[in-house]
Amino acid sequence: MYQIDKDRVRKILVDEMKFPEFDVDLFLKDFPSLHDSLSSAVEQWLQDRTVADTVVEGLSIKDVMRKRRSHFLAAIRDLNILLDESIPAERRQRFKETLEKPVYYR
Amino acid sequence: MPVPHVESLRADRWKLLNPTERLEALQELENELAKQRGDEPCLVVGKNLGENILGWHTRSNTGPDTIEINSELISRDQPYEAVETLFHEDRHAYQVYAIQHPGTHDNLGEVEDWRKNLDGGYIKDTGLHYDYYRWQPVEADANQIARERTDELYLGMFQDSEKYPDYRAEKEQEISRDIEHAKMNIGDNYQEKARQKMIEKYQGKLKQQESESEDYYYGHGY
Repeated sequence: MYQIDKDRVRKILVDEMKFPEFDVDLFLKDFPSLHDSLSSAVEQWLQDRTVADTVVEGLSIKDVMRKRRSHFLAAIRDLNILLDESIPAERRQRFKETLEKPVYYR
Repeated sequence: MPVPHVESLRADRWKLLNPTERLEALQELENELAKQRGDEPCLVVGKNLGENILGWHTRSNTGPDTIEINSELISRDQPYEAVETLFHEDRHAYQVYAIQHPGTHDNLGEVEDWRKNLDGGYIKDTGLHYDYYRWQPVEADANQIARERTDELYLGMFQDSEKYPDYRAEKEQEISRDIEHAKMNIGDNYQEKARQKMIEKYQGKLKQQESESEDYYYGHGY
């Protein structure tokens, strides 16, 4: 399993990307350990904020970011669920379907 | 309150209207909804809000509040999403009215949640928190009421059995997906968790305001 460096991520999100501190702390508080196959994408983002072309179960990080208008790290957290074998396959499949459809705001 | 009858919002009528007339029909619906609560109606405008944003309610201290509806919804030949968005945004206007006029809404606990939610506790979706955004009290309530009222109008009043059932089925699936996503990321009690985080945010803002006013106090020689 791969653990993100929460202090480093917090600094990037707050100081560089100007997210409100409350939002960042709320996001990072329960951020899970990640499947090893996502570590290189996260490391790359930590270095230069570029989004790797990593694909999980047919879904790329960019697909999820675009469909859900989500941040890179929120997309990573979502894709990590698809790799979590402690979750029944049927439920992971259902979750994948949530990631394939756009979300709407109003 | 019964849902207002606006004939131009029937799917077969709507299809024949131009964008200006469609906007007028939505304004008429808003006028009636505001009249029901004894409030000034919001000004309803069409605006290009981008791909994933359906509508927006903006409060104003100087004139009427504004409801922006994504122009793309107004250009569709089916009225359902535009109408449901109007119901959603109007519910935000209702929430503000209920906070400002005690006695408007029977459930005082809900009004108190709305007050905190709109007074510093609002969790914007900045790309990090869709689940908390979607299930915080003001958004959960506005989504639920909008869904119910759209059903009331098209299933009940207009008895639209041709195209509305497909739209409704898609909306129900959308809700199921939102629930599934929230359960996976924040837990089975997602709605209560979103409420708790909203309260935490509200309390944080309150503390910050208190400490700023203390700074002001000490900084002015008292």
